[in-house]
Amino acid sequence: MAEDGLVVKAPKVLILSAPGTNCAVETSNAFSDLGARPEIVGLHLFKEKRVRLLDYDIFVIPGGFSYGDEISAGKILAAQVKLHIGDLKNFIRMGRPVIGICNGFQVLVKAGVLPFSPSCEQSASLITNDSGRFENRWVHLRINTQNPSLFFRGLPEMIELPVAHGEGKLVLRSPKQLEDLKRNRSIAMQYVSDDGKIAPYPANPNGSVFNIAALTNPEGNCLGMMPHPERYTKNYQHPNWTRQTFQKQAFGLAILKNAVDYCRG
Amino acid sequence: MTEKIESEIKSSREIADFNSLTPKELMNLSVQNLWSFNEKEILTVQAHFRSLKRNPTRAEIETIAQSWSEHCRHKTFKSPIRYQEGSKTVLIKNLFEETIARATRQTKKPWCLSVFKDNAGIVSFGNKGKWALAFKVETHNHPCAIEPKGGAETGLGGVIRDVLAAGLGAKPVLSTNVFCVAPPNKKLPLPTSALSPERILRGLVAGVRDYGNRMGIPTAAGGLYFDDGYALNPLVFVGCVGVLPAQAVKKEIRPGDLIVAAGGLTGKDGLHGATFSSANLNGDDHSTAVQIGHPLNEKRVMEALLKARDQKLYRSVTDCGAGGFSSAVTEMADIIGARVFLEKEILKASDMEPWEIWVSESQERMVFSVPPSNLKAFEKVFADEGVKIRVIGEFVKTGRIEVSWNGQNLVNLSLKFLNNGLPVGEKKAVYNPVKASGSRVPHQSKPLPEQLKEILSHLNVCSREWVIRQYDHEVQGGTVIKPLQGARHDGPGDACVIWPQAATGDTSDLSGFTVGHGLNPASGKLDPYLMAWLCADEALRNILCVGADISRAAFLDNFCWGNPENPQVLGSLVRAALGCRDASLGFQVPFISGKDSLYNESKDAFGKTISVPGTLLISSIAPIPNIEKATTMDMKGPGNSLYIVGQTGEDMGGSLYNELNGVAGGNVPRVDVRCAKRNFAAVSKAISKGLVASAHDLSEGGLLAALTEMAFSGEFGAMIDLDAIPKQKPIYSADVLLFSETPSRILLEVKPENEAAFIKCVKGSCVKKIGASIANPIIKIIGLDGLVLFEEPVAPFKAAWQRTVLS
Amino acid sequence: MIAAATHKIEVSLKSEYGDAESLSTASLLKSSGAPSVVRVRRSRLYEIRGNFTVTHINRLSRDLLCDQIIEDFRVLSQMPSSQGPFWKIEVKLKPTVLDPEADTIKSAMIEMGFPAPDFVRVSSVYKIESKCGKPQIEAAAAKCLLNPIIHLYSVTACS
Repeated sequence: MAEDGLVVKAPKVLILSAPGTNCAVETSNAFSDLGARPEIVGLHLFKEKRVRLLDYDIFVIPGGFSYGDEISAGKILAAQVKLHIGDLKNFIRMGRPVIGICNGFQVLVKAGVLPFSPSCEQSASLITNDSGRFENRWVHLRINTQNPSLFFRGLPEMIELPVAHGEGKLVLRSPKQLEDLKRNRSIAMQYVSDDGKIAPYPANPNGSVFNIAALTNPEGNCLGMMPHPERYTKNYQHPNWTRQTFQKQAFGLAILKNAVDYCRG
Repeated sequence: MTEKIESEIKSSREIADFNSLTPKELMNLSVQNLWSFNEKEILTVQAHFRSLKRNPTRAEIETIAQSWSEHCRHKTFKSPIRYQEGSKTVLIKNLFEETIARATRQTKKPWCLSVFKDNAGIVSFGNKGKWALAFKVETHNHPCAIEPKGGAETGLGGVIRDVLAAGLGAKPVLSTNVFCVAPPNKKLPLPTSALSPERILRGLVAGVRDYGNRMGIPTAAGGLYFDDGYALNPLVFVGCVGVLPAQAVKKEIRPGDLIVAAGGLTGKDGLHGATFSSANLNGDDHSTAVQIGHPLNEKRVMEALLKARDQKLYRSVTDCGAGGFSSAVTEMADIIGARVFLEKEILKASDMEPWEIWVSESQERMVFSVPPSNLKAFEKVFADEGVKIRVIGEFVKTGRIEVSWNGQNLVNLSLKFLNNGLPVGEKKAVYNPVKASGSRVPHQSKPLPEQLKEILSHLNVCSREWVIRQYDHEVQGGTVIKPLQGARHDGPGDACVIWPQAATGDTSDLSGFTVGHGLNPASGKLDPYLMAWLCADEALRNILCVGADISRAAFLDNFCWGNPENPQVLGSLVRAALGCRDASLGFQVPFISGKDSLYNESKDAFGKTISVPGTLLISSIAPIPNIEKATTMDMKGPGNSLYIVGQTGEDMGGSLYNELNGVAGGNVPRVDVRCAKRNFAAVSKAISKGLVASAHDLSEGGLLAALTEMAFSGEFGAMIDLDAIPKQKPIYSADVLLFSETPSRILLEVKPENEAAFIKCVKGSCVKKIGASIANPIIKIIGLDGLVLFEEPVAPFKAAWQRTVLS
Repeated sequence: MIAAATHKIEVSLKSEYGDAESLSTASLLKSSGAPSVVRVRRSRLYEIRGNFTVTHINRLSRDLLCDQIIEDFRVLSQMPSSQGPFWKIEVKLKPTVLDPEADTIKSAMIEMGFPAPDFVRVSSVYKIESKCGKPQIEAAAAKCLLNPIIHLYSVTACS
């Protein structure tokens, strides 16, 4: 149940779309299948004040190449989110679920939402993969069981999801910041090898510090992740479904379902 | 050329002396201004204006030049050809009509909803035919030779717009491409102006990656083919598949509807000749403007278009491609008529002449036909996506194209003249069969494992992972069979399967589709007719292996040849077209769309004109009624039976084995279509019933390469017995059995529990058990003498195959 | 009223962050005939013309053009360039070629409430440490960093 006491049967999900957003429809399809009420809402509606974030239960910034990823990935949309979606801080403070996927994660980081800092200033970045190129592959992820997040309930410690990005390498300002993230239990997922160990490329597809794939705020209701949960909502999206040698749970859908269930209380 | 004419040519006024120019002067004018008229054509133009008793404007001539261009009219395919083959000569009145179009008509497939008419071919799709698939593949060769990245971007952007303009607009759900380039690491003598093959390949991949990924369209089902013959003229095929509601297939133009431009603004950037000064390359390289793509603009148009389509706000749409407004509006006006006011267009550059606005090829623009009552709503939908629309004119029932700029008349032409005025000239084509040198088999020089490693690491066989991973092939969440397959997601899939949930919004409809390509220029050098058969066969085998409903397959053709004025070149083209006709009729698979790109030739470092090898790409598309029944090529487990589909013959001509052993020539394999058709239908049925664990196509490298790929992708081993292979006639050479490239063959893996049902299902077709999968990851082959011929672990072969094209 | 002027803002990665793009550029240059390339640093140069105050330009750089965690920016008129010796290659699209990045930045600036710029163009600046001579560097760059058909470029020695 959300902190502000809101319990809803069919949570309203706001999926933000901006020029260059790509993954809104499949994200919306996933929420529909979960019985939620997704709406794809253009950024311009925020500018024109025709929409209010607080009227929604879940906020999603989906994947894509917002504004063509010009300047750097997610940079322009981050500047616009800071400018036009002033309610975001409140929304998070009220405990409502926020998910930034891939480009959405880049936006949350560059808008200073994640990693959480009291000043709400940008404190980390996501930069060009060490391989120097865009890569689309499935990765093994280890979920941090210490993370208080609402998104991973009922999931096993090891899951698989696809990544598809050119700028996914998380960099921090200092080693101390990494220690803070560990202490705050803000590291939600790490890239690992198939036997669950921290490993270099290709297990870590981008060279991210400490193999970090996903972060949350310390409260665990705001999640930013490079992998794409909306691309694993049915078993046959897994690359090995024809082999039957994989955990038959659509982990991506499970993550989104946790957000929906949380709102249902 | 007088100064007066030169200044009038640059302006938008009438070219005062045009009607009194001599044929020679006319041709000079045509060459200088890149109009590409032949003498007969420009004399026809002059005669037309003489009969009107006035001189034309530059804009009028540009309009005619565009409308009559090879690009718009496919003159080679549609004008009479006197074709001589050996001692026989026949007159082909219209090559396209008599080959490809005829085959499509004769196959009479009711599920073909639109063929050859629209911007893409359209077939029925989905539960109860609620949806339709639009598929288009075209080439963008010339720009890619000069600026590979920009060329690939604008090529892809163009074909995506074609799909957006198919019917009332299809949502793109798959982008596909085939690149024919020279081997990247080979030193070839190139003229100084030519880009290196490595640079071309890197640029092409980067262009498709940056444009396709930004558009949010999965890029899969691609191909790469290497041959020295593409060093000067790389071939770049880009394709796109879109999904549209079945009721949105029909478009119409009504007088009174507004002509509305949307998308990018018009600028000088798209003028043909924009690169005139900079192109010091040989020949006519400046004839195509070089641009780079702006995917964000196209994406905005796409989103708005799909919303406007669902609100039924417009009645027709077309892409603004070659020829700009001139082509788009003329094509839409068809026989009705249009009036255009160019001052209404918003420009990016202030110093444009009106005629330049009319023919500018600025990217990412589309033209709509909007009923006036919908204009407000239409404008709103586009404004929400940040797209400015411009009402540039209206359709009127005059039968004319009338264009003005601030009251000044620029174009006033009758559509009848534009559509029917093009004079046709008879072309000559000669085909001299390459003398068959007989089927030759080299004396084996190297041990088998080495032969196999060489084959697997050959550029035309080795892993394409470096390319595939740079493309987002999973966006839209519908790539249920991925291009890389197997236990570690790195094996060579035959095709991908797309479940277009993001387009239909219906996750309960499990209909999917698959796309394949057949390309075999090596055989074309020996016999273009048989090449067409091999392309068709390969395109079908690819999609069959993932579970396509082969009875619903359709083809697309793309012809890339040299200069058709050369009778030998045209002869080879004609022969390939005849092959397409016969293969289409033989397999009963219709062609639904096609393109041709001719004049692919350039001067080499020594000044000699080099033409590309005549290259035919046949692309296939077919639905998969239930994606849960799709299959992949990786071996699924030990103890399963391995079956081979089709007989093996002594088909070493043009094979990779012969190439690697330095043997040229030989017979090109023939497709036995009766057997192939029966076998394919049986395989399609068996896969749809879930009886096949894996299926892999036998192509370059033959049986041994395919078997090894299945084994290492699945991380199992296999044992086969050469004696069990069904043969067309007795074959006593193990090498032939292992490396022959007889078409129409597929390897299947069947689990013991399905074997009885499988055998029943494929009864009456040539499907024979040749061995079994084993847990130990080795390949073991029992020779014809009953002894073990080959027993090797698979890991080193995988390593050989995984050499990367580039890094 | 502020007079329209062209402002140049250079954004470069801080040296403590590994730059995968510069690394691959260096290896491409090496294989394109400039074997002695030691190091490449790539930066982006934004040319923006319009009526802007210094505050505008600083805000624009801070909020939009530069990622301050990993990058530094400098407004070129304010500071002389130094820290050589290296070859500096500046590459930008010709005015006749549409620059999608510049186009997007232009519309983003308007959306963010800046005065509409008259003109924006983005260049890539490569600072190349190498013993190669100018013709060699220029030829290598033409082979892998730029295409004279669509790009304008300049090669300058910096010390």
